[in-house]
Amino acid sequence: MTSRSPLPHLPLSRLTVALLAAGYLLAPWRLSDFWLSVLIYGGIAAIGAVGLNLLTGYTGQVSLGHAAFLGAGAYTAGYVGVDLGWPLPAWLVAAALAGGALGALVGPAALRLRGHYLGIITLGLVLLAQHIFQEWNALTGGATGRPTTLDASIAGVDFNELTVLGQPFTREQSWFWLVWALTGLAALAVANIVRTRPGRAMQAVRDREVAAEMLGVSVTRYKIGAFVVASALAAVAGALQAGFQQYVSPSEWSLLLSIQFLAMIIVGGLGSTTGAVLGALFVGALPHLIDELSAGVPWLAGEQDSLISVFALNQIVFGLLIVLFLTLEPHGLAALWVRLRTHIARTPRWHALTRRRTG
Amino acid sequence: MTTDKAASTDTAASTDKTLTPDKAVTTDKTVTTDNAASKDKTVTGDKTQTGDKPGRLDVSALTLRFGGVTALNEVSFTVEPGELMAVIGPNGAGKTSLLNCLTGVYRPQTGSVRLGAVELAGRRGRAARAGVARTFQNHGLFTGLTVLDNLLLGRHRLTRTGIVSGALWWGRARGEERAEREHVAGIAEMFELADVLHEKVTALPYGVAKRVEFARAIAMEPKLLLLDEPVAGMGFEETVAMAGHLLDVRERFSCSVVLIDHDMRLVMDLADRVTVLDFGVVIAAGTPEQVRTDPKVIEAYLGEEE
Ligand SMILES: Nc1ncnc2c1ncn2[C@@H]1O[C@H](COP(=O)(O)OP(=O)(O)O)[C@@H](O)[C@H]1O
Ligand SMILES: [Mg+2]
Repeated sequence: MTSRSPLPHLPLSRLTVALLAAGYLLAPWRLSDFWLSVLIYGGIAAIGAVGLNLLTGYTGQVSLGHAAFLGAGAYTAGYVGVDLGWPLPAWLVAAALAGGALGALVGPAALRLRGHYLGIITLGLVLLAQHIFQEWNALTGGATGRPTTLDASIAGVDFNELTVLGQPFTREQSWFWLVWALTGLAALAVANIVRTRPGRAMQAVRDREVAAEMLGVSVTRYKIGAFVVASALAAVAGALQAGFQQYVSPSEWSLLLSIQFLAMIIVGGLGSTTGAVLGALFVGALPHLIDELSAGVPWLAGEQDSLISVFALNQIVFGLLIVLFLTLEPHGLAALWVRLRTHIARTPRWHALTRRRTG
Repeated sequence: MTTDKAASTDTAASTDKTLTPDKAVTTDKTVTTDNAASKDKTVTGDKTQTGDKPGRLDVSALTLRFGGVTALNEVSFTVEPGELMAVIGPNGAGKTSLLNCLTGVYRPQTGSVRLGAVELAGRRGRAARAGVARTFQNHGLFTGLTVLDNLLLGRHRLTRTGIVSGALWWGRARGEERAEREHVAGIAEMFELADVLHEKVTALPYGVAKRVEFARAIAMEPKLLLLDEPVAGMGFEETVAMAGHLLDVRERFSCSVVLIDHDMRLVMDLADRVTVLDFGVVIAAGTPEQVRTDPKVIEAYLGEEE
């Protein structure tokens, strides 16, 4: 496998991309609105996760502040989309810019602090942000929250009431297409950064800061750059979450959310964009899966005589999985995915189809 | 390619051929610059005396202390453009600290490091910009990356794709990526690394990893190359191959080299001049001949050998 490729590949083969595209187009027809909304939340989380993965997985900067940037994005979108009444492109871009700007403010902390210390400072950021979200009534509606019925139209296509050739679609169907198109773009942008000069510089900073500096890599630029990209994507995720939920309250942007994002990139596999998407889907869908599967189990149902609540079971399974992944498969779902792919590729019939394009 | 391999196995023969003319030229300089250096100790960085000759490395009166330990004590020397200066000395003599001062990793308490007119002491980002490349004693490779990515990072300063154009994968990003991959593949060929180009560097044997780091430094197209014990821990054959690469590089790129080594074997064959450090002090400087027979040097090394 020493073929010298003139250009770096994306981590997905053509066949995989084709299958994903087919799934993207067909899923809204095959799945119930309930499962579509699970996937929508998964896609939104994936946008935040690929960003955090660029910061933590590729640049080596641990951040517990992700929830703050999601919240900032949600309220920016609320302001621009509801208070100002501007359409989807406007609130999406505004959220990204606001998130990026906040990231540029917080990023310099990463220049002075590393590892756990950076984690603690960013933790403080979440608490501070939650306080602001609760107090800034005009923007956030205070502790009870505010409506975020955003105008979801772009170029005359309204994703809240999508109609194509006279056929109306449900909100879940249309938002699935909207969100996963954006998830695809976000993942592609991050994968592109990773496979070119800036991404290599970030990984150099992660692996050996001094050696990176000796090559002329500006540690300042790439640490802050990674913070800006990660926060901008987090804010976009927050904006979409606000848009889909149509209501947001400060308690959503909690430390728990930050930890869930870290769990996504750990379960997915640090330093893999595919992994971050898989991790987001997994962590996002897991509670719903458990809900669904536990419906018929008598000792589990939410009744008084049940042995254990569904919520508690969720937490247990969730914690167990993180521990299992950290100990048994540190490279996460991404590694399982690669193994599955090579297994399939070894099957002769599939070989011709899954072979990557080579130069 | 096969031609490269042939060249490297021939190094024993080619060493003498390439080195003799160089030595003849630099012998005179040695005397004068040494005098200048010793006079300079008191007048740090005086431009009128030393002159800011482009490409000349001028280290004067460097002193570096860690608490009570004086790692470097009034160290001065110059390296003329294209010259290979070896710095040798027993373990703990201050050789690595010297490289760290030259590249701004450590900030010396006093003294200056000039490359041409640029002051390098105490300023980390500046060395790379001034055209200085270095290797580390226990290699400074990026362990999560492949050989190819490590070599491409050597091209960082010479390329320009930023975060936005990289994300868009558009225009410059694509063309630059293609060109750089071609270029770096050529360098890998030169250092016999073509077969491991897509390997993670953690999968490589020690000797190969050191060669990757050397190749990465060369990818920077440096004016000045700083090598910290490039053959430490290597067997005879690997050492000879590395010496061959070093000779190759000097011939092709005509950069100045500061070669740090613990023992004298390699150094005596390759260096134009040698500076000997012991406990942070320059105890001898001159041609390999002069240094080899210097009683102070023999003593410093005798104390260490057994
Ligand atoms: N970062 C540091 N902190 C404290 N002491 C150091 C540091 N780096 C080097 N030293 C000390 O400086 C002296 C020279 O070390 P070094 O430059 O590594 O020698 P060499 O490379 O010649 O073996 C040693 O006494 C070492 O303990
Ligand atoms: Mg050393």
